[in-house]
Amino acid sequence: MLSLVRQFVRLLTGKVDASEFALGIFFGVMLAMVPTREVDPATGFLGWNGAWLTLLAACLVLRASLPMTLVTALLVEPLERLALGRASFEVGRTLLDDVLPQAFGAGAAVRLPSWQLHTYWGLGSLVLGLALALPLSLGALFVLRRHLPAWRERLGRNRLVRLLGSSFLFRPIKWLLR
Amino acid sequence: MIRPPIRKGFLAITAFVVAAGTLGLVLGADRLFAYALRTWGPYAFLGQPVDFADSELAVLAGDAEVRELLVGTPEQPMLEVGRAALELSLPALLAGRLRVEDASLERTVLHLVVKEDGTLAFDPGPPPPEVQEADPLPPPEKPLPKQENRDLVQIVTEFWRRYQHYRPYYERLGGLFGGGDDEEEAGPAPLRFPGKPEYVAVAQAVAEGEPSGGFFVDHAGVVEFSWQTLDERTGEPILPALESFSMQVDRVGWAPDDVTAPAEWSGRALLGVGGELSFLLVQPRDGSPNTLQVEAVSLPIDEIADLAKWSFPYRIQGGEFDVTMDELRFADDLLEGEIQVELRNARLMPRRVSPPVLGVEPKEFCRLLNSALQRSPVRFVIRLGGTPSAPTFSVENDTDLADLLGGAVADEVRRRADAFVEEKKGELQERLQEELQDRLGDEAADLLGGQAEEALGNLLGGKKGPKRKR
Repeated sequence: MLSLVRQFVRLLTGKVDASEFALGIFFGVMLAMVPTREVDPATGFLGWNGAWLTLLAACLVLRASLPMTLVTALLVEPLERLALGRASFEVGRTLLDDVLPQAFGAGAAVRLPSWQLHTYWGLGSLVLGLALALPLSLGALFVLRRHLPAWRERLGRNRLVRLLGSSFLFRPIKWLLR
Repeated sequence: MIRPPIRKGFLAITAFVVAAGTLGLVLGADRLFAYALRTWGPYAFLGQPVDFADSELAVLAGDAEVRELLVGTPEQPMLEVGRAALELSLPALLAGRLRVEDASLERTVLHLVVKEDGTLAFDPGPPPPEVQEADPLPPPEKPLPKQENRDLVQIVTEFWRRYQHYRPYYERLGGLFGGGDDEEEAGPAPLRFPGKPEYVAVAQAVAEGEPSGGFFVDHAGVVEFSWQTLDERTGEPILPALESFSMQVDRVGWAPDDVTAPAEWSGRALLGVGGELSFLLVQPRDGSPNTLQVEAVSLPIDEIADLAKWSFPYRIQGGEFDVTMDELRFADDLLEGEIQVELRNARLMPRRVSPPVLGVEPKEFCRLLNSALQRSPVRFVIRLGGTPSAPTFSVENDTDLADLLGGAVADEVRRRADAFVEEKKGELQERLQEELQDRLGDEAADLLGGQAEEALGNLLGGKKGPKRKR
């Protein structure tokens, strides 16, 4: 937990810009919403949901803030457990049964089965996740672009923050996360 | 300054790991392959050790080769292969399909030994008592003789029945079809929201049935195959020695779209003691029935009957037999064709367990058959019908055994007479013509000319021969 706080503080006081924060929020929401395991047995990628693995790879390759991704995912996960998971399932059921043409579900099952888009939960979580993640990350982008420099300046003057951020242990991580 | 939204460090590390892994795989492929063969090979051969002189794996070409493969120990080998080679299609592999372009086994020797206690040499024996007590093996349908007195058919059948029943145990031990000593993995925790539409399940089932992917063999062959068998109870071989055996498999499996030719399995064997066996199985891809041709000629009965001397309800000695299946056609809902079995110079004797045949007591049946066999070969024609899962059999003239045997003899006599007439027809025709010419003189022959020849030719059922010139 202390390490997480250290990294988070360094990011706030460092060169991470608003878009990286926004991407972190986006991927945090998506990774928490989409199920990790395959929903339909024997159609995933080595037992994992291909869509979740793709999101994770995209998050690592794109310059999304990893601490922000983690924090967002940890915040959204309980909500997903409480209500959003059930809501995802219902959204997926409505889409596959009543809204989308049958060719979509059948095509997804045959051509891209590992993504689990042919399952109620798999499709619903992606759609609902996007519906939550896009406005959240865009809103964060808008707010952070306006206020991040001021926050950094204020935090940069704080002695405790300077102490936490100067540890040599985190320099390689900083390079990787750049 | 705007930075590109890519994490270069992460990409660099990923690329390095992938490149190092690929390089390691290419450079160390042979060693990895050899290690994998020695480690996992025994799981494919009932726990027998696997060793070989040399192995090669070309990852990028998709080729693998093993030379001087030995399964078992040098003192007690189970299988020896001079060269085993496999050529896979790499593009197909990358697309998720396994396509064997060529596979071959050369100089293969199978060692089959029945020990003095009447078990196969590679049989790991029955499971420990606690396993047997937990799940006892049901008794066989027919009582079997003591283990040490069983024939090969009974030994193999009983071994296979035990293996199937205690399969989980044998697979943990290192069974025929993989397994290993890993504990069974606990199933994954149940999902919170499983489910998919019914039409998706239908689409998946249809896609699975489409012959578009999976496993396909372009060509595979076994050449110079032989076996060495020994029954330690008698010191005699179990099976007649093979002089040669070869087998080919072509276009078998889920064919790619560009393959429309039928799948074919064919083989030919020559026995060292005489006799020949060949077969051809054709599986068309246009929905028409499969066809099977089998021809076994002059198989020595004494060499083969021992395999099933206690399984077959009659004792049979001496002579030879042929088995012919001209074109057996079969599909899921169809079975048609006939099997011809011809016995020559054989002698049948009843056993205590011999059942009556077509209402005739065993002794009488043997007397009739032996009497018929003394005169000439006896041929039975068994007609097949129904479906492969519910076949029907009918024997020609099966209403009466004497008719059956008489008919078999009469058929043979007729066949031989026809062959004799066919062979002698030309000669008779020529002799008759010469006789005519001698008796009537050249004038008469010239006068009648072609008319006489035509008349004689028609009389004998032959074609008109060329005019003789003097």
